[in-house]
Amino acid sequence: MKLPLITLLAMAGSVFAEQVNILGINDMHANIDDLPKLATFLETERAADPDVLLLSAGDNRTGNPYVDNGAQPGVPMIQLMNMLGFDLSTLGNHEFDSGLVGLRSTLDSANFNFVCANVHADGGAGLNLKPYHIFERDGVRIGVIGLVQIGTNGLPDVHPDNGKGLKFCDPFKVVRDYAYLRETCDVLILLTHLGFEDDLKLAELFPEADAIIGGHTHTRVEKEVRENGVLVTQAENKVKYITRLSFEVEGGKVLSKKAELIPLAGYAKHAEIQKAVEGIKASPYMQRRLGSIKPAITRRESLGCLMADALRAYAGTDVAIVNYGNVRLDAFPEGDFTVADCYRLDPFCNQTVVFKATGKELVSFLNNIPASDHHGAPCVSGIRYKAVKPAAELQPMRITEITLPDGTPIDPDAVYTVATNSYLMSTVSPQPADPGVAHDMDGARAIMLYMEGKEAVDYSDASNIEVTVE
Amino acid sequence: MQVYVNDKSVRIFAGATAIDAVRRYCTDTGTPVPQGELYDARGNVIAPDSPMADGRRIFTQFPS
Repeated sequence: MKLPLITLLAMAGSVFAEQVNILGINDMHANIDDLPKLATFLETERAADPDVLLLSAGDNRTGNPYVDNGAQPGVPMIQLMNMLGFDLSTLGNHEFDSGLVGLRSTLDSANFNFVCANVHADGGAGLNLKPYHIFERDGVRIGVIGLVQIGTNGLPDVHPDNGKGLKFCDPFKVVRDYAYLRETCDVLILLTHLGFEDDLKLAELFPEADAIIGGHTHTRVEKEVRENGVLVTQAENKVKYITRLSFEVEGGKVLSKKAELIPLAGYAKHAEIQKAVEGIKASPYMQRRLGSIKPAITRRESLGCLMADALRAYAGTDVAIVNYGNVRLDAFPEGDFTVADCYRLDPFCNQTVVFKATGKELVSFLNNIPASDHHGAPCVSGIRYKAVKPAAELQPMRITEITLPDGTPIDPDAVYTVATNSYLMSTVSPQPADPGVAHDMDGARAIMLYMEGKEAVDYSDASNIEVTVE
Repeated sequence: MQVYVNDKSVRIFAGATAIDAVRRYCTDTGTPVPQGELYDARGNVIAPDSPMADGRRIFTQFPS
């Protein structure tokens, strides 16, 4: 067939173009159970293109007790990422969950690099962290700049103690310092943990990028998004999806680019990775003995007292409140108390929320809990109360007496600090004036901290409430 | 912080997730918590544990 000259030239051009493939995943949150499926997918991809890059947009850890609470928190996930052949990761806010020491151990355990341009260690505390990394594949230079989100308090979404020893800068300002990489790289990627909405803003500010591989908001970007000419991708969370980005590069220019979201659910489990996951889960961690209970606890309410005491001990508040429906065991035998028992007592992993309330607001909050939890009256620590509760479910109760443990009545105008869980904080109405702040601490881990090293703990008669049903 | 569920302003604790915001919306409006998916302002699906930030807008569908 006789082709026009322009068509022949275009075809010749595509012959010389290089194809660059990059896989982006984010917010895996230590969902190790689905990594064997990811491994099988990666085998297929690498068979088609051995040079394909595998990048993580952060929050690799946090979400699985086997990964998060062992001797080296987060490191089991890094070991699996090493086996999967990750090429690069940025830091998510949860990479800071074990503070500077934990972050260092995470970075040092990885066979791949971490990049983040807006985090620096204070005072020369050297971290194995670079602002960007440049890959070379068949003569094509692929630059990747890392960025993590910063909240209104100047820190990523992390407990302030875990940001100690680190300096954080505004990602939107810092990124401009690296605009020069456009001149030296054929493909320029921003590997971010900012959230989808902020990635759209970033694309406006940094059109030098070819694509943003993002994380943080657990957004499933199914249809290709181009903002200001920049591809903006994100693959939800917990290893459900991965994004494949493809670039056609010639003469230092990206001729074309595309992004495709790929579900991982249908892939078979890779035997070697499955074995490694089972090895992590076979660790004696969950059976680790924390302390002991003596004598047996025979009432659910008494277990609720233990949970509320644990929450108050963690948060250092005047009061702690646990809804009755949050207490998932009715009794506990005399004997050892293990890590697994913490998760049996509180399997919900709701965040702890701390707020300030006047005595009047505290009474109102407690009174209205049975309207959102049909299981019964709330368990408390730091106070005692008597109440009348309607027999009908999901109705408010009426507190008739509320005191501190020494019998002093609660002052309606005094301000008390209160710890509770995110479920109650989002369902009890009316809300206190202070909407509160969530802590990265769930009930099970609070119990773990509380029971560590405690022997013959006696909650057999524990009760802080007296509720009459009318 | 202030976020928006189906364009209605919702006051919620700092560090809340999308499902916390939806629960607060449902408590405030007396509607049952929907079982369907949650969306951002662009129509992308977001996971229930998607972290919320001040001013963020999310959407969900309630049974009619």
